[in-house]
Amino acid sequence: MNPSDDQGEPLACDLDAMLRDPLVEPSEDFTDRVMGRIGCEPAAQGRTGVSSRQSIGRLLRTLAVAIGTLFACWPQLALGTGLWFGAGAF
Amino acid sequence: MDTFDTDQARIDAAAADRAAEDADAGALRLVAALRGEPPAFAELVDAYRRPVFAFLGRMGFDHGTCDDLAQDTFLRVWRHRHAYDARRGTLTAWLFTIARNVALSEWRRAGRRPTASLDEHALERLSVADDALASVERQQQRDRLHRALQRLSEADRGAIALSLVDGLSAPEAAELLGCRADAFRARLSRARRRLAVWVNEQA
Repeated sequence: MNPSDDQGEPLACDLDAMLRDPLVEPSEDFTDRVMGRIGCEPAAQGRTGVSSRQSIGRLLRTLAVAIGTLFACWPQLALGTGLWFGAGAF
Repeated sequence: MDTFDTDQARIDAAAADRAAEDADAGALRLVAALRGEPPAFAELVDAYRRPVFAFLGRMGFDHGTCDDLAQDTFLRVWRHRHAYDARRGTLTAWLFTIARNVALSEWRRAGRRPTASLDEHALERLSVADDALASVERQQQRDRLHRALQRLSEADRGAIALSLVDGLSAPEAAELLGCRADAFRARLSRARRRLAVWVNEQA
């Protein structure tokens, strides 16, 4: 893209030269500093790892609740229906 | 003579094809760098750091702010790298959309136009081999341009800064600014005329 395409002014060449000159330039260690900051970022794989751990934890909790429920209900299972167990409680 | 012209045209066409292939290969490599792990991403930072700095400088920020904003730009690129969709636009257009958003956020945060001098450490960094007078003149010219750029509106400055990004077409720049290509060209032309007048006022 040439910004001077639509320019017919004598100043345009000077302005082009001035604008083409980068006003500011990065220091030599710029990339290293950016990569250093990126190194401190939580990596995508790290986030996936955390997510997997969360999923496993959720699964274990669900299993524990299911086992606890089974323990709590074993008389019902042994004696038959919940009605019998409920009646037995009185 | 005709044979020579035909051969030359064929050679030119082949060279143009090779250049296009090289550009495509370069673009593909940078997209791969975007998708890659940090070591590969460094290649992308290396490739774009100068254009991003130049863009931010033309947007009117001083060297220190450009450094901070350029770092923020690449961090955002890293964080959102999986959101880049090559079917929706070039990597350059996507990256400069982020750079412009970072610049606009800084303006909103600061609540004013940037007014700091262009580069307070510029004279310290002048190369010993450079002719001192030429370097000082160059720096004065940069300061004049910087002051003139600061007088432009945000949109005009954006048009000028985006028009000078290599690899960014006028329609892409227009889309980035949220206007049509002809409106972008008109804005650019007007901004350049104003800029030329203001630069020459200071000379």
